Amino acid sequence: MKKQILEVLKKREMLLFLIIVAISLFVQSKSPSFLTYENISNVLKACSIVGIFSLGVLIVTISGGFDVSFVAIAQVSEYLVVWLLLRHIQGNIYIAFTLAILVGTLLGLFNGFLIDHYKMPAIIITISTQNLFYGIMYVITEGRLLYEVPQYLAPLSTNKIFSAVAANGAEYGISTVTVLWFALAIIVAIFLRYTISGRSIYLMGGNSLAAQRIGINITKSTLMVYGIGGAIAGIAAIAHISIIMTVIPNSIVGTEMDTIAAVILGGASITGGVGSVLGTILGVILFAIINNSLTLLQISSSWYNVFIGGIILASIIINALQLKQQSKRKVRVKVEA
Amino acid sequence: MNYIDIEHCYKSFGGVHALSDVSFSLKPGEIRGLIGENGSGKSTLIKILAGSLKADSGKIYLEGKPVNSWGALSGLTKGISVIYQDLSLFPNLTVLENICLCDQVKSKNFFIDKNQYVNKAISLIEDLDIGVDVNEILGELTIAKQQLIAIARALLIESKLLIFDEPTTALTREEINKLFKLIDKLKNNNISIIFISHKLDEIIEICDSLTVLRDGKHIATEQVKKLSIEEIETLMVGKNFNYTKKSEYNLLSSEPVVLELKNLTKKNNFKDISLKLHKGEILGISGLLGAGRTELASAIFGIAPCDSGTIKIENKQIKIRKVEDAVKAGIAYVPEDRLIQGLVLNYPQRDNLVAPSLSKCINKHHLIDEAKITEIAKKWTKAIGVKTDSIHKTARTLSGGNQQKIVIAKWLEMNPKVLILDGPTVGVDIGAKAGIFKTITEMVEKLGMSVILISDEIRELTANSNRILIMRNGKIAQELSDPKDIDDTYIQNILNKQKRVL
Repeated sequence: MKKQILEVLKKREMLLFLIIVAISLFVQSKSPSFLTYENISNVLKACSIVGIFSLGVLIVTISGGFDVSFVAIAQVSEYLVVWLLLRHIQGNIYIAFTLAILVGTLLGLFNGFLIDHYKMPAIIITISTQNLFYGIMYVITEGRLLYEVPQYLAPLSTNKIFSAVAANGAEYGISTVTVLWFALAIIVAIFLRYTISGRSIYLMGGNSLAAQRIGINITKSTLMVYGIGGAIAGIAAIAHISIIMTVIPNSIVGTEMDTIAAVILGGASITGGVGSVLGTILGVILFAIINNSLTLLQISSSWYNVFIGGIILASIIINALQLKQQSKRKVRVKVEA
Repeated sequence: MNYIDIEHCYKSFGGVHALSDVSFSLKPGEIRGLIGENGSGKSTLIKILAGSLKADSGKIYLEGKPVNSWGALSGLTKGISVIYQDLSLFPNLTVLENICLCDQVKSKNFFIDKNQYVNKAISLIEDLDIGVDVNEILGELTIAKQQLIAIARALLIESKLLIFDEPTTALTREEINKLFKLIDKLKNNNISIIFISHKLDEIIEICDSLTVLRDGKHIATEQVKKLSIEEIETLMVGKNFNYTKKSEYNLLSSEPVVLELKNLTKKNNFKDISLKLHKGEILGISGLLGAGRTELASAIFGIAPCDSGTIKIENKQIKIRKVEDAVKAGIAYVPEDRLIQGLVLNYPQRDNLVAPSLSKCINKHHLIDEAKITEIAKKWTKAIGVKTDSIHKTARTLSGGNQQKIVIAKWLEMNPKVLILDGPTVGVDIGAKAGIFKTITEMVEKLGMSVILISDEIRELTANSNRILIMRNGKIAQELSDPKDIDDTYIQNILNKQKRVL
């Protein structure tokens, strides 16, 4: 029993959870408005986009791959889908999602094809496709903003569940964007844990040669992984439009590293084979809470990067120390007394 | 009836014959040793058996019936499993998943059903006496236990033929004993075994029969009982092979002591090691795997420094806390795993050779002098006879023996006082082994350095060492300095006794 408790405490998810609780209690003691339903639902809404992105990044990372093009994919989907809906297609929110998932999947498959076919490091391929996707879009659109967005996309972010009314009359509650994030997270978690395709992603990331030897088709799995990554970027695109109701060609470019950092902090291994949905969610939430706390505590937001960098570094050092301890205790030779 | 028959099998890669006219058959419950030098076609034959390669021509029969489809998976579905040298397991997953996922992937279902395997996995783990929990993460187990998990995985899918590819390289003698007992048990259950190993004494210990391949051709299949180690080696190399024994074993006690260790101790590695190494001496260290030989070498070279004890170089006490300290003191180390620790394979041979002595190749502008590097590299490749068409090609393009020579030359250029060689001929063809030792003894005479030679091959030790230490359980168990004790059978008997005690 004691051993089991220790095992749970050693888990990355538990560590993150404890850090989140500690920060929350500290901030709450300084700023009582922190642990209120209104603030929590706002924080969750604010990190929903990163949260959705992180699910795609998680799958790619577990497979032993790397993707920095997902934001560019989302940006292209945003522009293309809104343009199509405005000019060519009579639509609704479902059609919007379908189109965005389609565009995202295709661009993701393009990544997967290049990575599998040319056997080049995914980081280099996706840095090039990131520039390619974004560059082509910018050339064609000349960077024009789309101010007009179909109104039926708005409710996704304005609708709330469990809503309440604040003293000043404003309505607040859990946004449907947040619901979308958690629903998607549950689907991804089931996929990764209970399906053979999902489990193959762990096999591929853990030992790609061994996976091949037990009959996993690496080409198919690579295409699947990057295809899903692209599809999830497409879903994030629609959620993002719904929040800002404008399409700005460069509005989310540059946020790639925040998402990747959250996934890694959530316990996913950059070398592949390890990672969980719960850890990823906690990683995203931790970053969001730090951001929010700085605002509430009226600390300059310039400190945000310092904290993020510090936390990532600390988590890496803790890991390294654990490994070092393990190897020290290892018995290499049974020495007679 | 034979379990498997391969008749007149041919396979070539881009015009090079990897296998030509090889026939092979195996009875149920037979343990067959498969041996041959590097490049003799062993792995090609294994891949064809496992179904991951298709033969160019030839017929394959399984239990008398001809087999036509040989795809990536057909070996597994037909009951042939390979326990690869790298084990091909998933260190990031649990024991249970490692055992059952192979069967699950085969099933092509959508959802995973692990629960149906739990009882089977637990009983397999009990049968094989592995002593692990099904929920443990595989990567946290010892290599020996991981190997047993790989065997459990093969038994779960009811394999009838198990192919072991160099299964003992990472095991201690105790673990090897356990593995051999298990293989015997599998044999009694009518499972056929193919056992690939470089270590002929193991082949003789465990196998019923053996097949020798050379240059892609079938040379012989014989009952093990009928052959001696010397005869097997002759079959492998194609000519008589003998180590030329050193003519004199002068004890050199008059020569000055170069390296002296006193009560060197490292917890869980070795204890109270004291030894003296004289100038110009080759000191052999033997012992079973897991006796602490490599650990001692790592400590002297500062890779994993010792906890206590003193190290003296030429009567001056020094502290070795990191590799830099050892190199400064004039110690060089050629590790067992030269591919990982000794060479940058994608780097030119020339640059590999000069890597540790780069500081000597600086011109007057404090920049690297390319001409000097080439000059040094040329000097050594000529001196120790590296067979290469260009030193500007990558180290990968060399054969194992020549790679080893590059690693040794790299340290010789540093002009070391003490050279530690750990398994210098592991994975080197028998033919090339003699060449490596010729180089080493020449260099000892020419440069007056001293050598610590760690090896599993007793004949290699007796032929080249002035003295031999036998380690056991992290301690020096015996010192053989009398020339008449430095004898193959004498040492083999000591080690055999240790094997039985374990």
